[in-house]
Amino acid sequence: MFSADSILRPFVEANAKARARRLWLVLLLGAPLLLAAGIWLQARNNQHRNLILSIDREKVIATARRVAAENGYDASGWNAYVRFDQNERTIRFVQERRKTLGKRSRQLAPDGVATTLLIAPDDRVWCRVATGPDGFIVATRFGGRGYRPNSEGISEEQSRAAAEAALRQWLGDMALERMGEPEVSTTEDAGVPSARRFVWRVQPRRLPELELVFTFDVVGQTIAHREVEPNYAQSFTNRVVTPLSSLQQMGGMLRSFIIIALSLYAGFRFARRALEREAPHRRAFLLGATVLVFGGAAIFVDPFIHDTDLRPDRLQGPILMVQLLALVVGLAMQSLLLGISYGAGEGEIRESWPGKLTSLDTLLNGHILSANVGASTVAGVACGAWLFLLTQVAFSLWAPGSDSTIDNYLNVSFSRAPLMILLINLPIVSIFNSLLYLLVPLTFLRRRIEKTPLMILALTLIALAAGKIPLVPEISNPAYWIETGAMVAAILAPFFLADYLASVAAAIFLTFLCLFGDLVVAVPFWQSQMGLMGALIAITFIPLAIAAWTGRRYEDEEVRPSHARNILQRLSLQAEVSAARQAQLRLLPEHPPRIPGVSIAASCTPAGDVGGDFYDFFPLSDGRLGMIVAEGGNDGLASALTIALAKGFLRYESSDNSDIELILTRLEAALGSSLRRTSGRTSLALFLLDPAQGVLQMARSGAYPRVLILSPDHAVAEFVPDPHEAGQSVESGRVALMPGDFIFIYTDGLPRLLARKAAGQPSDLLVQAAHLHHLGSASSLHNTVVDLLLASGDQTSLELTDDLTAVTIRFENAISLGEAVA
Amino acid sequence: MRTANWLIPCGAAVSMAVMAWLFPAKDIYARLFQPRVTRAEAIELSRALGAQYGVDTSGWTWAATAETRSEQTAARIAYPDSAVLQSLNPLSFRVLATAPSGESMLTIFDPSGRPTAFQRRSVNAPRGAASEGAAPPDLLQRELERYAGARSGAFELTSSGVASQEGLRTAWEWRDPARTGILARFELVTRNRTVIRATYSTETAFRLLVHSRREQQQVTGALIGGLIGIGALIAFLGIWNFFSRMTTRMDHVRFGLAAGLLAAAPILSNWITGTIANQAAFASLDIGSSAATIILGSVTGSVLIIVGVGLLLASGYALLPERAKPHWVALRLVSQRQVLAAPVGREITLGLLGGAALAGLFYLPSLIPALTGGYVQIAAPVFLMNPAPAISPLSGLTTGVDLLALFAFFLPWLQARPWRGWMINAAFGVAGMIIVTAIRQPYPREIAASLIACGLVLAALAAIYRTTGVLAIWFCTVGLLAAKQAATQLSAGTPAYSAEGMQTALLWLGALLVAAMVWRFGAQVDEHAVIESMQPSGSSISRSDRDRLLAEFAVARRAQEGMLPLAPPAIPAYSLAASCEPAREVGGDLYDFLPFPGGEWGLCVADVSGKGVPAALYMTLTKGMLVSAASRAADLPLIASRMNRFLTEAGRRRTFVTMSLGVLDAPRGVFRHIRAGHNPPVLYTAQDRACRYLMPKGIGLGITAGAAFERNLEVEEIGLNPGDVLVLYSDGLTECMDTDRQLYGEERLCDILRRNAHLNASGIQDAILTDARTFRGAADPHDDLTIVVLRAEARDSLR
Repeated sequence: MFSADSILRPFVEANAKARARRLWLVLLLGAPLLLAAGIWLQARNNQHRNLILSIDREKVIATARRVAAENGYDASGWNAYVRFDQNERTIRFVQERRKTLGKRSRQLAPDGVATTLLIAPDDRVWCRVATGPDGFIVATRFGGRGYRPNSEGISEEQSRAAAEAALRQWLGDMALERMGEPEVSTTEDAGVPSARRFVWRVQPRRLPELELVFTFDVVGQTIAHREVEPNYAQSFTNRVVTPLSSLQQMGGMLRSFIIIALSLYAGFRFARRALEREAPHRRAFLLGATVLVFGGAAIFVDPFIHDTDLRPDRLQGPILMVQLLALVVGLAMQSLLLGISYGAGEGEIRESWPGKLTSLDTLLNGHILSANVGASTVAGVACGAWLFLLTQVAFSLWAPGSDSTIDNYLNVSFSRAPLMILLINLPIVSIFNSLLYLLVPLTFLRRRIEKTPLMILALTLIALAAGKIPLVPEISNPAYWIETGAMVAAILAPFFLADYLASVAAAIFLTFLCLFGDLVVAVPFWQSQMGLMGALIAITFIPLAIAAWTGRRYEDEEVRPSHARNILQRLSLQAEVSAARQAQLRLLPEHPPRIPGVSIAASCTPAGDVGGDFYDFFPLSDGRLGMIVAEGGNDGLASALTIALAKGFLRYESSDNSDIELILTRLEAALGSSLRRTSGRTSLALFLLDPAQGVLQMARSGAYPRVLILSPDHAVAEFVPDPHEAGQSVESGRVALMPGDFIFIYTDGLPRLLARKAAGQPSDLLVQAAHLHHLGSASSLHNTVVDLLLASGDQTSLELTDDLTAVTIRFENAISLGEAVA
Repeated sequence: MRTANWLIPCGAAVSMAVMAWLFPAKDIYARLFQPRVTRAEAIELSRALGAQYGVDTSGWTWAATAETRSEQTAARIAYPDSAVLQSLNPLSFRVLATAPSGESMLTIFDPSGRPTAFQRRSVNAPRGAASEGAAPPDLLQRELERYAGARSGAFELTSSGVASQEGLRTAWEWRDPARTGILARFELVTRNRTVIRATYSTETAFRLLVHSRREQQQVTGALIGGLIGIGALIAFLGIWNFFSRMTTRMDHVRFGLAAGLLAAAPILSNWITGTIANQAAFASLDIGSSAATIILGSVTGSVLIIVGVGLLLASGYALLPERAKPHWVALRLVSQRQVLAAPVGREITLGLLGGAALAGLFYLPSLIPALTGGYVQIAAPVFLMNPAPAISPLSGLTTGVDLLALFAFFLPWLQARPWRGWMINAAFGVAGMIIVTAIRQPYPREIAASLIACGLVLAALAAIYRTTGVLAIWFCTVGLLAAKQAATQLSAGTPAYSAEGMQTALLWLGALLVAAMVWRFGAQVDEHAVIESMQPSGSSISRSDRDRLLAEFAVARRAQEGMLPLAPPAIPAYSLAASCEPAREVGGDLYDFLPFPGGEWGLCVADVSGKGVPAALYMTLTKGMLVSAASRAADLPLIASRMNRFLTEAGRRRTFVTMSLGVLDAPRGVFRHIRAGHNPPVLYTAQDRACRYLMPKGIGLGITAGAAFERNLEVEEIGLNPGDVLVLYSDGLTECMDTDRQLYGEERLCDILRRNAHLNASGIQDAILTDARTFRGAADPHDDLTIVVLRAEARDSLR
């Protein structure tokens, strides 16, 4: 039947370590059990839920129609708009005063209000009704150009009596006597002239910071507007609201800062990848376009889902158009940002973890029912199930019955197409978070952190600081941290355990479980959708799960997109160049030879990945020192090859102790054509230093390297070889050295750099170095010169346009031949 | 450009005259707001009011701000005859005093100094409804008169001492007898006979404003819609351009950040003068957040503004066409911290003057009879209550960012398009009109006048830009604000405002003078050199890594190919063929023909351990040695021994070379060879039609130094008869693998050689290579493949 091998086949390699196999076995087999446990725990947590609605869109519209009918309007054919908003202050107040708050007070100061606006088709009359979570009406209002209640011949006493009657009818058993005298004023808020406004204020017992304000606008004897609103004392705002909102703002600022900084960097990386032809333009566009289309569809179906103020005059006209335009522009920008973030981050995964996008590539190639896609989905769902249980455990420990999971979906639940918006939002929000937590930070971190555990730690910290989108960063709320932590784990754990597709699947599944389970308890609408949701999950998941074990497994190279091939090609080229650099470094002498009577220092700083300059020393058996300094142009690898050719030739020639001029002439004759490069010919010089005689000989073909001699009195002279003889390509010369003289040999990288820095001539540099330090050895001059050129804090070293090569020799004093040989 | 030097100052002078003429009649400050109280006076009034209510404000911190209520402005303009509406000015000065304990007192005054609101905020919870201690009637009457002034008699009491959470509320109303729907209210809340809150307000029914409101909405809707669309487009283009250029150059980023720092000037000055703290105090009061959070938010916002301005400038700079560069010279100098250069002085001078010239243009449409209804409103009234009002025009460097976006980014972007001039002008004109009108709207209720005014201003800005540069455009808003503000303060007619107006005027005249001095006496710069310096330098241009690497490898490959013999030498009675196919771009295999001095020919195939460029480096090194060796006697052990020594030194025992080197004595038909760890050459003898591998002893070069190498090196000598074939090859041939990872092998080589031995060397070589390629199929070549074929030909056949 089922063996462990057959279960694990889609998830681990056959030769995987026993630990990994055990891990996967536990992960997969435990998932259904944990899922059930999670659902049970969630149901228990929801018993503590503060906000449980008994209304839905249909009910509140029916209530509003009934109110309209009671006022003599048949609103059955009127357009209906509904939205649900939570009252943050009331929620805070309830949290503070849960025990002292009576049922009636909670009805009159509800946590959330569903507002229904009914407008007659000709826009002439409208009716707005607000109800609390239990269906209790907290406000009704009529208005419009066609709303004309009869107000003639009515005295203020009659109006007040009408208001009092309405108040009595509204509050039932609450004694009017407790209300005291009303404030009376004139108002036009009802949209008709000369309404009288009666305001009663009452403080519930034992709640000094709460005042309930009952407002009635009476036109004649008609109640055009009635409303009850909680009014919180300044002390409550100072004590509770301000500190909390300050914390939230701090969190918001931190998040904005992180998102902006990361987005800017991601933008740069995307452009860089685009230049390398490694950016997934099609995918970025596809992602952006999908978000735009789906988001646009949601706006189209219910534009007022985003409108915080359901005012009749805002439902039409240019303001609405501007609002919608701003919404679409905002959405387009967001889509673009998402596309760019994906495009920037995808390459980072390909470079560091090549196999982790294979499933996604397979999916995007259209092989939906493949083993790869199936395995990633199953892995993601299994991780989601584990994390679901952990999340519910955390909720039950620190935030039982928290409403924050469903905050954003309460209003959605009252929209025209809640299911559509939920199904659109789930994947988009998960992808958004996966970009924010993984792909975008990787663009920055991957070049800076090598070790995977450190990388996971850094990613987690950034993700926690960025917080879960679209939640408001409520730093003081444990539910916020549980949800953010769960999302971070759902993105990162399956990614490192399986792959990117698994990470997205886990995030979607986990979000769905947390959200839907809470919604079903809190909002009646979702209870009716349970069967449909179950069917949708089954239709999506079961075929994919079957495919995981029975489908075809696609290899990376079969589904790899062209931009990914470009990444591989560049990586391989870079690896070669890096190996070339190592090889080239090995061709340089490890350290200068020790020759009695002289001290030697040398260095070669390549401008590019590999250098075109070169130096070498050949100590001869008679105590003399042979040297080569060469410059192979700026053709990178080609220059390096040319230099190696010359080095091979000269190395072999050096075994004969021939005259350096002759050797160079032979080199020109044998390899002249190979030494010519497109960026200029290879120029090189051979030197022979005789410490016994204090004589330096030079043979040079080409204008460089050049030689400066710095005497102990800080005078600098250039050692210029004798001019060419007719038909000769090699010039040569000899110079007598005095004890303490420095010989400074350099290639043309040095004068070029000095010219760019506008820092004078090489001879000035030597004089400057001589004045800066006491120069006791070749290395002291050499190091001073190099430091002056590549001063720390100066970025010049990163911007060398040519290799910087120099050899410095100090002629200490003349020694006898015997000493030299010894 | 020279014309601008006198035309712009003249324009500024004319503009001042226009303002002196039109300001009193047309400006909203002179007609409607008429401020009389300065910040210091408002704070003093507030302190006095607090004292009367028993609030001791000593040791409290003060903040003040000025605001206008647009609804009220609209109502006052729509119903100028309503005494109720006239009783409350739309401009209000809010003064906030905060005690260290957190207790605060907010007072609001109208521009004449009459209090219109007072509120005391305590930090403690109220202790029950204060139904006791009802305020005596004389207190109520006194407060009504204090806030309603002479009109208090028109008010009637509507609520008297109604208990509420705050305290006891008493309210009065004054209904406009001529028009239903307009009324003024005064509400007083007392607790224990102390005033807790007093509010004087006016109300205009929605229906009375609905007509003008709808028109206003449509205009605003269209303009704001356009602004959002065009703004988003410009922002997108700017950001995209910034990043896409960033991949090929970085100088624009450095420029943008350096030049963008100018935007830090107003932010810094706001910090120093306490304006930020002042704003934070009100933000804390209005949106309910701690001042520290607000200040932190302000810092973050400031950084983002600077980055945004820098990004905009960087984007524009990166795509400057040649003709636009002269307009950026001064800003370039600023970015190089050469602020004392004459062009910088010129642009700042002309920018400040040009801004002043623009101020007058805003008033001109009001001269058209059909448009005279509107007031001109150029700047928000915040400057009236600024802690350091004279400096506040500096804020133009950040508030004028719309103009900067147009001239510093959008214009260069348009100019970089291959469009005709009129198309560029049209696109710039349309976008500019929408942006400038939507943001500034100088005639809030007269769209035609606003469009004309903004059109004139945009045209003037374009002219200023043509004759100066981006820096001047940037300073235009500063000049405009300074002129407008000085005019407002000087025309207020109170000694305190006159003094403030003089301060503003003198400060900016001083700034103008300093800039003019820099223009006149500052360092002269070679503008051509500055323009030249705007070219991205060689180092700041980078190509795609891949292109660079591919090009580098292509050059290296050509270089390496150039090191192989062009063609095999012609050796009498022998045919010779050779080829080398690197597995990658460059290879580590080598073959060579060495013309030894004695007339002998050296044949060599070598293979460097490893692959790719490192192997290629050692391959060329080996080639160099061989070239040198070929000029000496063909002493194979000596050559091998020297090469071994040098390669051991150079390769540091990490890289080694295997080599098959032979010397052909053609006249004698003798081939002498050594094999340094290399694949054994295969010899086909025609006589017995058989193949055999030549396997003299030998260790690879570079593995071991000295005696061990020499001890293990054997020289083998073979005779070659006509029809005999010798094949030297690298392991890329015999170890070539097919898709099933089967090796090609020596057997197969012998077989193909036997079957094609009748062909000449190049025929045999082709046969072997074709066979190997067929065998390999679609599998990747994993190693370089080198082959040298030597065939002894019959002398007759050669003839």
